[in-house]
Amino acid sequence: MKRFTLFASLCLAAGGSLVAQNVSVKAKNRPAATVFAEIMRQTDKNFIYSSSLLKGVKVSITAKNEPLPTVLDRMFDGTGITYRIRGNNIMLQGRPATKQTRKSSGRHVTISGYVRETGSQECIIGASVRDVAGHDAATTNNAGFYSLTLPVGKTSLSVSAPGYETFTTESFDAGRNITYNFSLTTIKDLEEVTITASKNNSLAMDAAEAGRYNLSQKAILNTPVIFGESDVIKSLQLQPGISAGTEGMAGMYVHGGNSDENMYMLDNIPLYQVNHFAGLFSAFNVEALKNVDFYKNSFPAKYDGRLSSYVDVHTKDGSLEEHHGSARLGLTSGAFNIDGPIRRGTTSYSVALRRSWYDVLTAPAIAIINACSDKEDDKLDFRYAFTDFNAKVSHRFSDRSSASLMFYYGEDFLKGGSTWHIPERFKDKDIQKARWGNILAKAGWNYQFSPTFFGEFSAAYSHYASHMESVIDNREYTGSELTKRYYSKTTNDNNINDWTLRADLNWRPSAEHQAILGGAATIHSFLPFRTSRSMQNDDVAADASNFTPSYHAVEADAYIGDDWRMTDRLRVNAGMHLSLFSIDSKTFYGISPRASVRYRVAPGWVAKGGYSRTTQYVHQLCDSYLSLPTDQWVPVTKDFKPQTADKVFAGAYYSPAPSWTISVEGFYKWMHNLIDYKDEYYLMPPYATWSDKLVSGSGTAKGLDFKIEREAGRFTGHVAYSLLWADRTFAEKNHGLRFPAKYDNRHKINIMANWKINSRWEINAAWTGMSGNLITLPVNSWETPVLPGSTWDGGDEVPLPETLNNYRLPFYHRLDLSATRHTKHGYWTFSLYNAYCNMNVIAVRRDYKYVYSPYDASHVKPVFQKIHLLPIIPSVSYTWLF
Amino acid sequence: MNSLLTSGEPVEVSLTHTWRFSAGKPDNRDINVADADIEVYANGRFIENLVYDPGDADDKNSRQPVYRGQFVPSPDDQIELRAHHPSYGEAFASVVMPRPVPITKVTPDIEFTNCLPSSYINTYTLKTGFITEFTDPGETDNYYTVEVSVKNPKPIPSDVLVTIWPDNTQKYVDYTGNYQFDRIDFEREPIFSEHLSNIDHLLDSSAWGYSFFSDQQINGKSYPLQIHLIDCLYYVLNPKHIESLYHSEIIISLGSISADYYKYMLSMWKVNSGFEGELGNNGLADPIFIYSNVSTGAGIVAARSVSKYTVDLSDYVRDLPYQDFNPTK
Repeated sequence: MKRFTLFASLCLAAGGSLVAQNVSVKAKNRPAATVFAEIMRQTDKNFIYSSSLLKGVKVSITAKNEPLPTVLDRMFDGTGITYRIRGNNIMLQGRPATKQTRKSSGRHVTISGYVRETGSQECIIGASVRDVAGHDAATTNNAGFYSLTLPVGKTSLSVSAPGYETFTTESFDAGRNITYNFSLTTIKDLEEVTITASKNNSLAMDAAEAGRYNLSQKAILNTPVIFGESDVIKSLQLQPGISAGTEGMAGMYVHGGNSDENMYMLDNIPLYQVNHFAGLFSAFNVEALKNVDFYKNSFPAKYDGRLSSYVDVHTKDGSLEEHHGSARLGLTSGAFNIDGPIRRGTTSYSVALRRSWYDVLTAPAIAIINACSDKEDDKLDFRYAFTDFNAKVSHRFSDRSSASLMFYYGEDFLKGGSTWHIPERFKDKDIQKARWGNILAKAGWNYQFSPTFFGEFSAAYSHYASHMESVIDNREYTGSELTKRYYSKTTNDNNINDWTLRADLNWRPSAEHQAILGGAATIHSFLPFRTSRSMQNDDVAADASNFTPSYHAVEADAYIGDDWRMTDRLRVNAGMHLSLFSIDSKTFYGISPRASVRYRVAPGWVAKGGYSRTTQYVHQLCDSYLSLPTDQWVPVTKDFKPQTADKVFAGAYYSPAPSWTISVEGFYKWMHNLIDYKDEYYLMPPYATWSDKLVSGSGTAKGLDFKIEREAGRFTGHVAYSLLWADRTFAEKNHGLRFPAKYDNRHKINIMANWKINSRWEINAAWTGMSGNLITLPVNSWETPVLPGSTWDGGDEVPLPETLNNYRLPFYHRLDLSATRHTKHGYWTFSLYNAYCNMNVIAVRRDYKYVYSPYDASHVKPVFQKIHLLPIIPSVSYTWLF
Repeated sequence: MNSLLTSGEPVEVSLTHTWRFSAGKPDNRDINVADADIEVYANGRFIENLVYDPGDADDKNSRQPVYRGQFVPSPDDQIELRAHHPSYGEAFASVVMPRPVPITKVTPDIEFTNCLPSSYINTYTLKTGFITEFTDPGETDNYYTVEVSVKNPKPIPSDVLVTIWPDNTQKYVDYTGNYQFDRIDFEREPIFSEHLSNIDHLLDSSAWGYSFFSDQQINGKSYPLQIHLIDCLYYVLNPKHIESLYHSEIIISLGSISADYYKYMLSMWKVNSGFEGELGNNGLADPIFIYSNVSTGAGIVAARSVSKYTVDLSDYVRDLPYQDFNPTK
């Protein structure tokens, strides 16, 4: 009994301390922070606030053993500061300014400027600059520039961006056009600040566009992925409505579309090859980038050229104040990046390099193998490597004018084969090489013509090339005399060269309107797959080629769009993109209207709807589910019309708190003039023209994306669910019958969780569950006949062709985990891909299993064998920060 | 429905049915369809109904059942085969007989390298190669295949004793002259690997055993095919220098084949050895199937016209040094 009473008393005491703690404090006109320190010592609670909130605030308080809430009420009385106690945290906030109705004199002023990062002066894209009283807001563009038009009068501005402390100005008199530049401080420690900014919440609740998402570099680094290689595309795969394709690969199939229907841009310039190592990794070096804008439903008028989505990757400009960088070494690659001032305050540079390091191991291993083998044995040759190199120089001429030069180089290189040499007898060489990748160069100039008119001008060169080569050279000697020679060289080339001039203008004619307009002119040069072969057998020589010509095309684009806040509730974003594509003595025209509407039903509730049309002139043809150098980029020609898509969507959004968003979006998409390989294209002669292998068709897709997301705080993440139907119809595929698209993953669930435990540890988890991909599984067989002339004698059981994509693989699910441990000079990243080692089925094939049966002499049983690919894969990397 | 229509030879067609993979393959005879009607049309005109030949019912491994006819197709004939069965339905295929392309010249390259005398027979190893020239017509897309066969003289009974067994049984061997080879060296003729892509080379796919090629590289040109034979042996037991035993013949056949035949064989290679088949079989690409020109999607009706060139080896073997026979116990 005595023991129980003591126990109960302890529980009550402990419970009591959780409910109400008493403090004793005495201060007269002292800085608030020093008073907090004493309270924290007595209560073990933490104060969380923005440093600007307490600037100049002094408090006076005398309390003896009084409840904490009472003490705080008296302490903050008259300061305009409010507080909330949550668990062990006391969160402080400025009292929101009461909405004042400005007496409108009919006059407006424009406040404009740049939002940059404190210290580095790196421009912040997508920062929100909000008039606290009137709730008008503007968002910074790619140059970090904003323009806000307000009625003349007193105002206070609040500037926020994810990952940065929110800054709120004192109230000031906006009586004329002014330039107001802001510097935001990055969040170093959650103990210090309250997070109020949430970029994607703003996009969901405020913007008229739907299906737009912003990924920060931090969010990409926090996504657990295979081999610990942070990846832009794999981070996007966790969003609803995006199918990943083959397991482990950086594929992206958005709303039932194909992988080539996504436009990937580096600083607004399209990139063609975005994968390394057969698609295992994307070509974007995360160390070099700032953030990523992704669009899948509403497309701004400036974007066209692809049907499904737009991914705009923004690279770092470099710090204008000091040099810093990082070096990372992981299981598959290493990366180094550095940025800093060339001339402090005006000119900066940023350089990032990522490279695989398999060849560092394979080169000496092969040298050892060759050295240990007999002189008369084959000598092996093998090397594989991928590289990404980003470089940028930015210069600020003045507050109105800035320029930049950007360069990107990315490549995969693969070489294999053998040589054999016996002096004075034989000299054989059998070597294959493949090299594929991009080069991109851009020169850009930004100029602020006026507080309401901003322009971005650029000239760019984009190059994609794939080159494969196979050389067989077998020579026989008698002494030093060459007696026989067999030589064969086969090459395959596919390349694209784009030269582009571009102008993008932002214009804010009034508080309600934000207009964009601009255009681009591009000269394309395409070489679709050209195959050539030279062979020589002693004195006999022969050459062959499919004589694929180069195609030159001219493309012109113009667009105009407006974001119009019609009322407090109603906002409309509408535009038009016009395009012209002239090639092969034919000119194609594209008219792509866009419209999105956002209606604020009630506080925290928003409904959206809209329509968009997109046009695509360039396509990628793939003969596998991997990203291989055999994938060809080809243009439309007079034989094939441009692909187009019409999409309608509608959505509802609810935000119970600033960093919480609950959304549901539905869509229906019609696709026309889709291009794909026809059935049995692989049986065409080796040098057949590429366009003879293709067929044109159509497709539809419809679905629903549902998402709950929390973006700010110590614990963030999202739960997403999507429902999808997608199909295709081609006259020369599947006997002209409609068939489901391969990545018609009917149900897809993604759960993403990030937990910042403390300043040293972060844990991330990502669970993916989805209906399996569709495959073509033949269920009937026939027997091949005995025909003379080959080693296949006939009598083999072979599959009878089936309807395309007739079988759905089992439900796919996988858990990925990662943990980051911050140290004094950097951080360790530990990751576990497929943490509970669920061997997902990626394919099913026909096979035979040997079983003993006294009744069956053949002892084989036909089975459908499941193929699995990736088991649990642990990895570790270290990043050193300097 | 399967058939290899050859100019100058009567029509033969085999008819089988498909089965469910999971049920397992029935016996060879059980998949044959015996009571169908197969009609032959040539150039749009009905010719005949084929007659079913059940083959040897007692030996499942011998002659297979076929439908035979009297009609002999000629080059340029358009042949249609139509099969009807009350349970299995209909199957239809059509093909044009290609024109033969003559072999204009054969230059032998024969070199005896060694002699391995044994107790009763001389065995020579030799290198055998033929530069076989032909001219592609160049008018249309043409497809070819190459075969090499051997015809040896009939052995002659002899009184040459080989062994005497302990029970005094005696064994006599025949006088013989016999040429053999293992296969064509496909790697010596680059045109046999024209269908290999760079990825196939990269993955070390082999064109071994594949003797089909197109005229893409030789359209309208004369081309010397390098036909080299591997593991060539010549066995001879001819102490009395009987002339007929020297006449071993190597027959080079250049088949001009239909496009469907070429596609069928190419698809067989792709499925079994090509990188598309490798990826498709492992779920990394869409599966590829064996080509069929039959309306049901199963079977192949192929056509060919053959030109032959015979090389008589007698001039090469007649003067070979011969080691006399020594009987042993």
